[in-house]
Amino acid sequence: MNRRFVSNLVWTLGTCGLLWLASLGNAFAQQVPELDPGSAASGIALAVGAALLLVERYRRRA
Amino acid sequence: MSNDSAPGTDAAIGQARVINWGAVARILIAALIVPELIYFSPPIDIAVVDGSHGWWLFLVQHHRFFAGVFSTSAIAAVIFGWESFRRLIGEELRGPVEDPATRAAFLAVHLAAVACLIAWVKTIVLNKRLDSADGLAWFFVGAVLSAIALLSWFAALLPARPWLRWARMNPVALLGAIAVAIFARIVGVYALSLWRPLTASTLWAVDLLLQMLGQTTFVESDAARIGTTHFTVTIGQGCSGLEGIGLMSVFVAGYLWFCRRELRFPASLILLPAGVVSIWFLNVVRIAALILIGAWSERVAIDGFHTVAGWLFYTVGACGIVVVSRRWPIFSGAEPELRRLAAPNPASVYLAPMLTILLIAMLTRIASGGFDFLYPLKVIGAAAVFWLYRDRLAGFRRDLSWFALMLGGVVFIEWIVLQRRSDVAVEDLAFATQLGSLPASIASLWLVIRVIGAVVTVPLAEELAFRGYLLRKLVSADFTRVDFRHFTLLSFVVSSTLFGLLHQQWLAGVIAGMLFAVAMYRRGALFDGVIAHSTANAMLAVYVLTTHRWSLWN
Repeated sequence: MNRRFVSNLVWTLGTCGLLWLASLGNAFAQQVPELDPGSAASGIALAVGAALLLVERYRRRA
Repeated sequence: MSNDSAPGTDAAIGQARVINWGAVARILIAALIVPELIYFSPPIDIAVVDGSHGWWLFLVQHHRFFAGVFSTSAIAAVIFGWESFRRLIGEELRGPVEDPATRAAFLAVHLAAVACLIAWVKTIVLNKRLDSADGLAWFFVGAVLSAIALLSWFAALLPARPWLRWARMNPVALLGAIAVAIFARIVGVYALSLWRPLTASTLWAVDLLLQMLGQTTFVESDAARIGTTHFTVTIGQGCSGLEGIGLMSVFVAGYLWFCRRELRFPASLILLPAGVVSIWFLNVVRIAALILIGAWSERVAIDGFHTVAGWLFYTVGACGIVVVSRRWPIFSGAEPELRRLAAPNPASVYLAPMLTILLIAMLTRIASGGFDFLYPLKVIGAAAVFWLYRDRLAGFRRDLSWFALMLGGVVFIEWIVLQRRSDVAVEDLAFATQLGSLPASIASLWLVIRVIGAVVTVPLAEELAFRGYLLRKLVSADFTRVDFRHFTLLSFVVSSTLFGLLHQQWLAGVIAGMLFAVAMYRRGALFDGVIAHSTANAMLAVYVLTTHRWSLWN
């Protein structure tokens, strides 16, 4: 499969996902406590940071 | 020349770059659009206006939709045409400012148009002038002002020539971006209707899981309620799993993109639905656990576990995707024997302290019930990680810089000036009440440890993660070879923005992140960023302790 096609597809899905979240934002940010700005940012930072640490570990191995 | 990289690394990329002030000015102009969009994003209430009298009212009523489509189209167009954007627009933005007087004139036009638009919103729309006989004329005034504001913003950044050249080179990317933006926006609106069936499936799975654990359950499908005789939960829109699915989709898509050279395609695309299914399942586990914990302690279940477990499970899901994709040959591009080779992880010293603090903060929040009684655990955890990496951290140490100390003072002032929260008095009172409920000796000890955390552990952990790792990672995949002096627009803006978003006062946080980066750039020393950060936090601690503005510590 063409790498350019894959990258465009992945970007498209990512953009759709972001917009999906943005559209839903008002609906669930008011109801779900974990989406108050402080903990949402911390939660995402923890997940992405932990994933980055793992990616760096495997990148060095390869 | 000296540098501040961890010992044993080879800092070789961009060793002596001078800050491009033209680029900095353009960043500030580009950043203007963010607060402007935020200001105009609240829905304008024109419900009292009779919509049947003018087609233009439809456009006004749905201005958020159109603003969203515009901003997403712009982002998607840059992404789709990234190579040519970087080559054409990037080079122009990095170069000298062409005809500064004209750019300044366009900036003045932009600011004037925005000021007029604010007046238009306040006096025309809110006073229902659109419903009058000359409503169409008022609408066109607003539309023209919007167009002028937008076009003059583009022109203040760059002349029309590079924009038009880039647009002519990427017609498919531009059209595709607009199509994606409209599609995504519509999908976002209709996705709300998915929560019903998703809730039904979540209810069914939670019920099944609880029965497997020997619990007697009852389910009210219409009210989306499930529980045992001891504790019941109602599955709201967010708890149906929609939020997790959206977040996981974004994470996996980003992961596939950034690691595309190390993964096999198309097999790795399976990770997208796999991530969605896994986060849905983890949400089911979370709700079942919530019901079981609620039977033991309602307070822990509602105030702690419910709030924190979603993010912990999201972290587990994200890490699971990374591990599976790297360990299974069907996804990983690395040779099997290479995958088994062990080597030290260069990112661990930069990321581990910050992750430790975030993880302990999450876990202690389960039990804290509103006040961070267990804050000392964060300091102890971070200190333990610093001790583990003490040899590598010692390599960062430099002599004190007055410039860094001064920038710390500037950050403190901007942090205080930009405080715009309305509920500070309530927060201050709640904090003081809970601190006062502790014995005096314990409260004093807690305050001492809180100050140590603010002045020592937090600045070191955050500077290692944001300036030491992220800022350099955005310059090169092999971040260990990037000198701390190396300035790029992208790394400077993105790392500072993400740093700001991690703080409640996001705008003050973004500016602080930029100033800490400037402190680091000057001598190419991460130590200077840490000192500036510590100075700002120390001054803030003194301010908090003397004025009892405890909310500044939240």
